Amino acid sequence: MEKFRAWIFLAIGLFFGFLVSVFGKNILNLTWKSEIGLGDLFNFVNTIIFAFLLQQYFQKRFGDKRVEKDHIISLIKEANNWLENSRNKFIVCYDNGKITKADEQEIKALLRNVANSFEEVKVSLKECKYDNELNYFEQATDSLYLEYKRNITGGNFPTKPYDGNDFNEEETTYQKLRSKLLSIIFKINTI
Amino acid sequence: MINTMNLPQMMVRIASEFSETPGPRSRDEGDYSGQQFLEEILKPRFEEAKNTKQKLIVDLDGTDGYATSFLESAFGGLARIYESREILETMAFKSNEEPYLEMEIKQYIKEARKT
Repeated sequence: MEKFRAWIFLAIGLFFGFLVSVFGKNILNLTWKSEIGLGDLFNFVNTIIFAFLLQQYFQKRFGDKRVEKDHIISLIKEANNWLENSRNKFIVCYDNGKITKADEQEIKALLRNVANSFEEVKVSLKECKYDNELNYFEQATDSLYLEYKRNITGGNFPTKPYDGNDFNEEETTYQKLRSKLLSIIFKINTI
Repeated sequence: MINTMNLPQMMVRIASEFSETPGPRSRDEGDYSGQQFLEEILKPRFEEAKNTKQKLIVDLDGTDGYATSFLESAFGGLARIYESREILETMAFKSNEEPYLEMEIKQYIKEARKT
């Protein structure tokens, strides 16, 4: 894929060089000679160098963007993993019918990791100047995260065990949040 | 609207002044509850800050984390006694360990219903 893109950029650069030469001939009334002189050779070399530089520039630019996107996507996946871990812990507590002191501490720590991983995604989106995506991420996840945290640490947490209602609410919010995280990955991939 | 930017400051450090393991919602549910924090620390300090025109900084770092039940009981509880606007003007929050907490607490203050 990288090599194919490099060839595309080289072709674009050559085409651009050709356009510049046509522009010189037709618009600036430069003469077109059939024999090759030193100046023509110089122009030809210039065109090749120009095409090469353009290729390098765009190659680097597109390559950097891909690295940024991959980095942000890996952070979103990490956030999704923390969310999944929180959910697994919630289900264990629901199945056990009780929340021990250790469970309480673990749930709070897992939720802190979810929140902080969301924060890292926001910081990266801001640093990479993906303002629209940052706005979308904040709108999509902030309120859902708070709702999720409320589902599993609100009410009488940690005194009373989770009931069926808590289970349904957690399931609904978890699926919404997860689906938003996946939609953000697709959105970033298509920038 | 009062400009609170240049007000002198006073601090509440939850981890050192209250507990490193903040607990449940109310006193009858267990130790270090949100209700206990509200009654013993937050409300008196808030009143002092308000009366002496100081900014009250709540330092949330250094604990094991906060459940929604604790935060809602403490900060939502304060907003059931005083106006949300007045609380948000007087208080500020510091949380390097979990920046989301500030947004969360402000939401509980704004959403608190007076009973």
